Amino acid sequence: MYSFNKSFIEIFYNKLKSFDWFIILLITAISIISLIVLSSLDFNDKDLVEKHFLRIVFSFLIFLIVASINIKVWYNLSYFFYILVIILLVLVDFYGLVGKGAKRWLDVGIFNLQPSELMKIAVILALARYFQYIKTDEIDRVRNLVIPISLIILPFVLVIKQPDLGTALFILVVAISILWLAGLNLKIFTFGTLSLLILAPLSISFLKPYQKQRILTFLNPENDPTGSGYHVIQSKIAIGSGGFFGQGYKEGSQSNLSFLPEPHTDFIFTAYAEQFGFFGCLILLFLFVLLIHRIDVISKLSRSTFGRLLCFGVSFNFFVYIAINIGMVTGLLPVVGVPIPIMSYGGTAMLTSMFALGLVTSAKIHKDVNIY
Amino acid sequence: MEYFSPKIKKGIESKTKTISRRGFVLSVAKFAFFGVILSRLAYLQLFKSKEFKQLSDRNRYREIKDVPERGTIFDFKNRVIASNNQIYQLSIFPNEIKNLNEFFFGLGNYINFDILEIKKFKREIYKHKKYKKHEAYIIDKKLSWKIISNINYNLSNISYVQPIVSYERTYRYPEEFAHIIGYVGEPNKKELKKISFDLLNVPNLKIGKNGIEKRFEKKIMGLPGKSVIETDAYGRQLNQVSFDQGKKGDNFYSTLDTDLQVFSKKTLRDDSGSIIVMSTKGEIRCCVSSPSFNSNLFTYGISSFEYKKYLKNKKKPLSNKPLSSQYPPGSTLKMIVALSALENNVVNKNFKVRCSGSTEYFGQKYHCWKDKGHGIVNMKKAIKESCDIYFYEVARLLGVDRLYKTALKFGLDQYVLNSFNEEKKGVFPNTKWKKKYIGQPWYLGETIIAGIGQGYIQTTPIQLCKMIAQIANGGFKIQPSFNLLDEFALGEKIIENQKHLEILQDSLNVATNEWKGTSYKSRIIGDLKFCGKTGTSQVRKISERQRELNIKNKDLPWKFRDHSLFTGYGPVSNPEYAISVVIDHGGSGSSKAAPIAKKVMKKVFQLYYTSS
Repeated sequence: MYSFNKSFIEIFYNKLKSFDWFIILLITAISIISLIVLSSLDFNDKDLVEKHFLRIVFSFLIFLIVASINIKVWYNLSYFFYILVIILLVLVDFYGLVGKGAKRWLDVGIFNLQPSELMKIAVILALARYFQYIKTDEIDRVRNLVIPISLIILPFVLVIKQPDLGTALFILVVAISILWLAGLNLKIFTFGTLSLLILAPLSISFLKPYQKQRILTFLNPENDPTGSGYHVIQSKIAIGSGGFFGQGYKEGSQSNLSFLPEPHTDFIFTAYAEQFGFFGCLILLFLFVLLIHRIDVISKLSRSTFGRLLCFGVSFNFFVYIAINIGMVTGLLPVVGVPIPIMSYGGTAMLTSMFALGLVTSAKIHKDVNIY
Repeated sequence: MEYFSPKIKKGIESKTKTISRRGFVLSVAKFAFFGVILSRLAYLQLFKSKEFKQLSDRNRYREIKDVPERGTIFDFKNRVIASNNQIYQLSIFPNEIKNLNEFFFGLGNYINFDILEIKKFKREIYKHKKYKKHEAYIIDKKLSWKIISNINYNLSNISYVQPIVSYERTYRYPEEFAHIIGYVGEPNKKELKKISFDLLNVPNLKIGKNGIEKRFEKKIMGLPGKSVIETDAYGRQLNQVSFDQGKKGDNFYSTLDTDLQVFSKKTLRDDSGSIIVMSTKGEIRCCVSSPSFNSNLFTYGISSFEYKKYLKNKKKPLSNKPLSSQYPPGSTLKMIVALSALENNVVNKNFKVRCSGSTEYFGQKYHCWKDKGHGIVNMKKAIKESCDIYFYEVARLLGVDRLYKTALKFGLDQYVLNSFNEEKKGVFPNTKWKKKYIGQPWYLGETIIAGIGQGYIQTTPIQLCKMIAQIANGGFKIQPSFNLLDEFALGEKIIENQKHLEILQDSLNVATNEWKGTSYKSRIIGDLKFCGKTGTSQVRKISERQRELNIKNKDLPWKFRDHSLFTGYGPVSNPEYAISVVIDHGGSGSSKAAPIAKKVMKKVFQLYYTSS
């Protein structure tokens, strides 16, 4: 018993030592900022900050657990996890909750689960596992491409059916980044991009009217200032009025007087930018850049292809989150309802982010583990 | 290309390198995009910050304006003519109301609306919703204290309405002063364009539409109260940021006399016409137009039924006759013809003409009003008995251009008041004028009839009053006005020769106060006398046939009868008040206008000369 205890403590101690404290620091910093912004908002729901805090704590526990589990276990669970999320996506189609004109959520008791969020990680895991086997020189063979492309197409179709074009494209972009990292021939990428460019105008005819409207509104938000362009215009006003040092804590008139839609979820960056200005944005962006860079660094430490692809995938995933969210609230990209990781108030997104960071930390702790 | 597709090596080593290289490329792309985001933020937050700050403020602040209280209008004895009542009205935010029919139905429990009213309000509310989304709309109906207190008591049961206190213009004598004081109403599109910045977006603003209310609008209007309110995106009011009470408009002290105005109005009864009394320095004491209308009806927008009734009336109650009706002056011009002839040395006071009832110039026959003729007349007798033949001859000798110069000196063919909206300028012809506006040369025959104030000559009653006032005051130029604060002083002397003045005043005196004078029947007997010149201005040309038939004015349809004029002044010994009376289609001056002038002048003497 004693020896088991000792060895267990020893193992855990060793793991704790190689935990990535820098990532934990960044998570803490960003979490604190998100709590500050949420507390500044005048909401009817007064538990907002508490709820978000509880979610952070809960997700952090998940993070710790995921991080301590051997990367080999995650390697073995990859396909299982992927299939589980696919099942959840199918379930959404049957039992999903309807909101904002789409079926996206599953009611799992404590909170509403959004399987398409989980799919963003599941597809990374599955592709990373698949390319673990494939040698670089064999990667371009059609035989070897059938499975990864199926792995991408299946969730893409399921999510687009919900319909949630934003998340579907998100999954596609992240998955393609894995293909790129795995070493897929440049010619295929060139060919793929060209055919996409040709297909894009055609595919517009398959879009739902509200999706078309969003794209049109994105191209010219002032065209429809009270309709769908309203969000972008109000968000730009809020960010712009922040100036260099911001309006001050709780002084954001746009976010507090309901001019800004959803200042706690998709537009939380706007609420932050209005109150803390360009200076605050610099700090927040710097934290996110550090986080992404740190994940890239960890990726290079990992000895296994699985670990490397997984980390690069997660870092790119984070990048896409941040880029789309800030791009959207500043009017650079269309409004697609993508949250900003760790900051936005929302269960699944928080859970997914922390889960992904847990995987990254696990890859770091077990960087020397030989998978094959 | 070498970098992205490395030469194939076997095993793990090459795979790791591929991932690292491609990962690096991805990182560069990531940081590049972060650069884009950063520059976008810098653009929004540093370069465009001011613009967005303004937009943000515009989002949340609403300026609410209150109608200012208009200045009170007084007469020259500080008696109120126009003032304001505090009234109670309901204010709503039309945006909040989903079903207007239900809303008005619910409100019907407290207020009696008629169907037309509701229709009008609904139409206005739809318009309001379109253009002034976030502004309050005021239901423009005067509510009694009883109704408003009932609504206040039940306010929790009535949605959307907010009782407010406002001001309503009210006229003490809505009929008597209707034309000259004017009335207020909602500004139309054209007026909105000219309105000052402060007054923009004042809900339910009423502006002066005509008369003194319009002419002195800037003084009377005042400054609206302003409060800035912070609202959220749904237009709910959160708190008041600033409040400015505004300023009541300046009071207007007019030269008018309520007693005289009311009396004159009563004297005119139903006749279509006007009476003006002014001091010989130019203070206008009374300025009546008849028939009249009720100016209080216009404050809330007159009903189309009432308005049509006014429009259809052939006596034109809406027109401001003392200032805007134009008549040939008829014989009232004879003083000016005589003066012009004297000043130009065309005749002297002893110049005589034989009047046999008619005369002939250039083959055309010209008649005197007295068929039998006046016999031999000199200037004094010609004015006294208003002999036409005498003035035909004088005018012929004088010529129209010299007459024009004298008329101009007395203010004919010119505005009497300073930029008064309704005032007309009249016409006084001369040879150049005719060439320019009619395109024909001047005929001598036209000079002949100009001598008795007919032809092209058009004058307004106020011009005639100013003209006679300037003879009465010893021949000094005056600037008539309604504003008591103006300086009323005698201006430059326009009758330079005192003898000429004496001839005119003497002739006018005998015209009223001596037997055979045209207005002898209307003389005032007593210490205080008045005098003046009658005038009968033809509406149509009398043909020889009609003359032979000897058709009386009474037998003609109303609109073909002659206008009846009288201009005069009093007291004769020391002239201080001038009067002009014009009765549209009233017949001869001596039968209609002169008796009215006598009554008014008697009132003037009673008001200003009897110590009580």
